[in-house]
Amino acid sequence: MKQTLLPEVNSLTKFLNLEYGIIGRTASTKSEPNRSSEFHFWVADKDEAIGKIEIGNIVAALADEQSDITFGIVTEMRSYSDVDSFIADFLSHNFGEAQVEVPTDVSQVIVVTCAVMRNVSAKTKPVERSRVYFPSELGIQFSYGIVDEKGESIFSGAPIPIGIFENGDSTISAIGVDEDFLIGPEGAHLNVSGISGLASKTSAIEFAIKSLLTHTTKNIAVIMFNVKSSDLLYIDQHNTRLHENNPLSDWSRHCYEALRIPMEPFVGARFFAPANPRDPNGTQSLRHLATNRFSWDLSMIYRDIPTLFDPTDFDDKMEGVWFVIQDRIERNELTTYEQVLRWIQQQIDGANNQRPPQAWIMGAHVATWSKMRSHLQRFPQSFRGLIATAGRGTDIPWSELAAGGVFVVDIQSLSDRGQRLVFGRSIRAISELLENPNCELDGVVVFVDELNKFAPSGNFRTPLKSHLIDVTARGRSMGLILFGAEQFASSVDKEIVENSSTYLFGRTESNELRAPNYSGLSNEVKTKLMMLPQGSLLVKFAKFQQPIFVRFPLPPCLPGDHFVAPSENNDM
Amino acid sequence: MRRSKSLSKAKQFITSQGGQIAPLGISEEELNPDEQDDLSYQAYPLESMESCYRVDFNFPEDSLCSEFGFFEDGKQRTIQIGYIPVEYGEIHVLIPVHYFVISSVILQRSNRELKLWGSAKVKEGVFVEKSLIPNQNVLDDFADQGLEIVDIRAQGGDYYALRKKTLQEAKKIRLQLETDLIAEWRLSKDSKDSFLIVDGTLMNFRNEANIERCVGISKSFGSRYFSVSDHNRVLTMREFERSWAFRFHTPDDDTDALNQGKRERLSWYLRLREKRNTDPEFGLIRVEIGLKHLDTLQDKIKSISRYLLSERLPISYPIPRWDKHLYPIYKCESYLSSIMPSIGTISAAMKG
Repeated sequence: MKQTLLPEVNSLTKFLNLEYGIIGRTASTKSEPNRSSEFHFWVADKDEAIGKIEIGNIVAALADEQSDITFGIVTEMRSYSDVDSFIADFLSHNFGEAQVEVPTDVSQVIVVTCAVMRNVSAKTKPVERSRVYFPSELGIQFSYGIVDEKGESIFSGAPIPIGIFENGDSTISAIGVDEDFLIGPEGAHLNVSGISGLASKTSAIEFAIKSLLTHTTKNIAVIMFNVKSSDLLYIDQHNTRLHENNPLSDWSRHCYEALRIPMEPFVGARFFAPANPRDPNGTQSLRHLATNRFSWDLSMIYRDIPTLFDPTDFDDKMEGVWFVIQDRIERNELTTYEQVLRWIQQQIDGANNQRPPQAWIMGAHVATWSKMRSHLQRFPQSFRGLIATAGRGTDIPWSELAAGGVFVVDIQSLSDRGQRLVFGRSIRAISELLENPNCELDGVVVFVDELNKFAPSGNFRTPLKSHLIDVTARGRSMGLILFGAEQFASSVDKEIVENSSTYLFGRTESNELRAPNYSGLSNEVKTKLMMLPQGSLLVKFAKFQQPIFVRFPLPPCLPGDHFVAPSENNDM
Repeated sequence: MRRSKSLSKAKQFITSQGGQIAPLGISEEELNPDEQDDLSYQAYPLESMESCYRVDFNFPEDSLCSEFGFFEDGKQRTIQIGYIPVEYGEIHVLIPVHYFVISSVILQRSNRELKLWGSAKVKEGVFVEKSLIPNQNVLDDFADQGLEIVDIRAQGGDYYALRKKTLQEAKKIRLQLETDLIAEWRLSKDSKDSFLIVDGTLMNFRNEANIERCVGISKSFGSRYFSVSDHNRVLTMREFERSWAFRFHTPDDDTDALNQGKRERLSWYLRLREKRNTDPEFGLIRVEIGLKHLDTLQDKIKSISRYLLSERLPISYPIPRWDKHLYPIYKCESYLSSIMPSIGTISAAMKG
């Protein structure tokens, strides 16, 4: 049979894995024509090709005239046979005798549907009759718009590797995102979702942050909030699993080397936790190593006090009373939390002691003042260790945050409200830091897990949620970058998720996949998401035409639950 | 020449002669299916016709027993694409012009999978009665441009006779393509220990040596070769039964130039399957092998019948005559259909 051999000198061949050979041919039928956005091909009848192509692979369709290559990502695979109906197959087995073997296998063909990613000619047109190959590494990177035809980066910022893409033919390619779209100014923010328990989200973020700090050209610092167990409490320690001899550890080491990321933990990271009320020098952290304590006195926290109220309690009347108190604080008439409580009590007593008793104090009803007093009395207990009712507080030393620096704020011991207080206050402090003209940082990445706690989906708004929406909408201009993680993307406010230029999806439950957040994904991609192995993610990035499945290595630092305290170690 | 070019040239050929482009929406083969079949064959038995014979085939134990590995089929598509009106004095003649595409293929089965054996043979061009074409130079011009113009060598200007002759010529070319392909297979090492299953009767093939390793399978029977009673015994055979073997030959007094001499084959009927409420020919095929096997006929009948019974699955449902259409032969047809332009394409090319 006549075959046209592809000349090696053709300038397009560099995009193809010629060694692997042709894996199929495009076909356009009456009922399923190829379109400018999608094309179909049947898989060549060679076992290795059929077994290796899967959802998420990238293929390259070389036009028969060898004038263009169209890259596509496999979004759907179907198996056709020429069995016309189930009844025909039933009949073929002698009217339903399932044990019957037949001398000829019925013809079967695997038909693959691909979403068009990019073509070399940069023209929007349907794919012509083409031979389909696996792309070379250059082809993969070109298809995602990471590099140009010469293999040079076409990002405006530095490429920040976020994982390794492995194609069906085992060709691997580093996948990076554009720094300018990850931490600004063109776009910003990263969101990762996926079911809990696989350690994927935290590991992915730790790897992404390590990669960012390694490859960024900007002065970036990182703040991580440890919201549960000891997830992030040992990020300054070596990950012992990286040094084991097993396929995953071997692959991870190779990955760090290939991506030029040092296999080092976040050495020099500083850890902060709320003060322990029972221990003047201790903290409430689960970390067994050195940790700094913080608690806030009135001057540090008074602007956050409205956020401590339940939204239904903090109505217009309460807000009116609070304005009066805040005014006194800002005029330095009240300098400690205890003074505030005493002063309110004095106002209530004064009104009650008058004859006849006064029902109104500075425009607000005495009952509202009483309500304010009882709430303020409760807060030091509710936010245990955070509020220094007397004396000076100790804040997190935000001003000491330098380029490459990492702060970990351990808030796992706090109630949800306490966590929101610390997170909200920290966001505000970082905003102020970045707005300071003397600040040498270009940006601060804030990573928080369980983002849904701080910015849940739904119509109701809290001050913190409003602030976070504002941060994700405009924060990139000032350098405040949010890296959020949650189990379900649909449980986080839509604006926050949509404002993220980079999404990472881990294994996701079928119910969650019905949410609008995933409407752009084909059913087959969703099925793959439901079965995604640990260490793999689907990446959507603002500059990628299609999402991509990547693998990422073991994190560079010790997972919290792997830490063995010295005493425990001695027992062993 | 690329197929689209052939169609284009065929169109130009008609218009260059002042002809009319008038493609039919149906091929001559579909219009006149019986024109090609020669039903004048005769038979005489080699076994007792008292009863039919049960083939030694146990189902499902023997369902994989077939040792056939090669399957052949040919296909022709002859479609009138226009006509050329010519005046010869007072005689007005309409010369039909047919586009044809004819092909044959052998599929090889290995590990239960079918693959192309060698390469398919394909021929395409136009049929026309060359002698009636007024400007003979045009014939050479188009031939130089790569258009195959086949002379049907008919007599006179009868429009219907010309069409009938065209169909016969198409069949002749198809048989020649099949003969050539079978010859290639016969001369290859693949034929040494194998039989080639051929769709249709072997009577059409003249070269005795060529069909030595062939088994012809006929699915339609337009004639009866035995008495009514004996033939009805064939029609009432049960599943896995075969008829008596018989010699199958062209008439002794055959002088038809088309048949080019007497041919004789060995044959028997075989019931592949039966089912209630179906016609008497349901699952009934007629098997042919070359006369060379006369000495070993019983062995051949036994093995070939067993193999064919195992070939009854998978079925080719829902195509017509699926009950007797062997699946690998069906795949030969599918392959040939895939490489031949459809009637829709031919019509569209003429109209475009």
